[in-house]
Amino acid sequence: MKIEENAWHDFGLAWQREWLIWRRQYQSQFNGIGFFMTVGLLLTLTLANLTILPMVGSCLVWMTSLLTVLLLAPAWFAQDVQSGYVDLWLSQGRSLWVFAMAKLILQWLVISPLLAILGVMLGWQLGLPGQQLLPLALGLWLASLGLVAQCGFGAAITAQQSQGAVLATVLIMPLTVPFMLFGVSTSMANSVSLPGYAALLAGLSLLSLMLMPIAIQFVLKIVNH
Amino acid sequence: MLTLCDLKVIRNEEPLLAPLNQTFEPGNCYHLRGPNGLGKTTLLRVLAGIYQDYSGQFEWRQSPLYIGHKPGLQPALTVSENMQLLLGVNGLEHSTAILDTLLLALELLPSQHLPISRLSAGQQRRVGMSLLWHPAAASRPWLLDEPFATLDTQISVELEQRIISQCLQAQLVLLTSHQSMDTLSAAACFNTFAPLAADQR
Repeated sequence: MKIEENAWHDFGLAWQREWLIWRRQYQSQFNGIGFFMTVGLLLTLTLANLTILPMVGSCLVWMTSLLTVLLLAPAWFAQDVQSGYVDLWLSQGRSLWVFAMAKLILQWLVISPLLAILGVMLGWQLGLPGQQLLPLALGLWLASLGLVAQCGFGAAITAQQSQGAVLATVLIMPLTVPFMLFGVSTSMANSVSLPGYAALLAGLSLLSLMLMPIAIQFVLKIVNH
Repeated sequence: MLTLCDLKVIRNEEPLLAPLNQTFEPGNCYHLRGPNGLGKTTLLRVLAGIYQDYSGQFEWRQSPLYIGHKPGLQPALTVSENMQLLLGVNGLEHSTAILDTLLLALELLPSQHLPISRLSAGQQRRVGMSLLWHPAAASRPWLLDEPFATLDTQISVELEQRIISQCLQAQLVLLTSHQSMDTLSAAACFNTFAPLAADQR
């Protein structure tokens, strides 16, 4: 009971800090939006005449979404480790996994609507059939929780490295394969198979949200040494 | 009181310091002395519960306040916001009245709405040290890593006096410093403790 109370209290502390930081630095989200729109524009211009575009369009949207999250993630834990905040947190016996979970949930709440909206816009530009756009948005919204959690793990591994983005990308991309596979399947699903694929994506995302904060805690303790 | 029983600090699977068997009495300030790279900061981090790679035992009756070389400030946030978060994470009350008292004591009131990144290194250090001016900080032991670095003379002397008054309230202070501490070193509560490197045993 005491542990639960402490965890909620720590979550509140972390959430308050993350929210304050996000309010001051919300402009960094524009980097992600700009990246997504630029890649989308390039894809639309260069692949405009490809006849198979409606068939591969969904894959392109998912790849662009993954790269956008990977682009935003590297800064998530670097400042906390380098400024000594993780030291402070640990010195008061607080749980790093709670800290990580608060950060991941806040990032997901910010990123997921952006990905869903931009994903639908890009899908429409790439000529995806109209009936695929809503499942695409649903899939991106659900899977972005898992993608954020996994990219957060990559960010924690590279928190002490100045050129961590590339390493994080290389390490994390293989972990995201299930999300890519089931995500694309969700986009192409019909009304009968859609609930199953959506449930699968939601399950994978929740599993990632459960496991990744624990992995992040372990990794942050190592990189913080 | 803090007692170290055969405490061995380990780094890269090698002992960093000779085994430590020492009792630190409350009401005293202990200056951990030694050359750069000896492991003083690592020892403080062990005692603060941050660094877990050690063997042996130590026990606190009350969780200490730890202020490291890097005070955990977020450059994008203002002085007040950073102070509020620092107090919060250390389990100290952070009402507006308390914040105003601390800002006034540390001469940070005019800068309270500025982002930390706009302050000088000395002012940033003051924000990091601000919890020591909190009324409830007096009831806990302090672990301070280079607390006087970048502070000007006036605030350094104030901090030395604060450490002395902390000792007078029967609390323990452990600190590392390469700065001279004229006021503090002349006080009756001041002690030095020089751990040995593992290879000097």
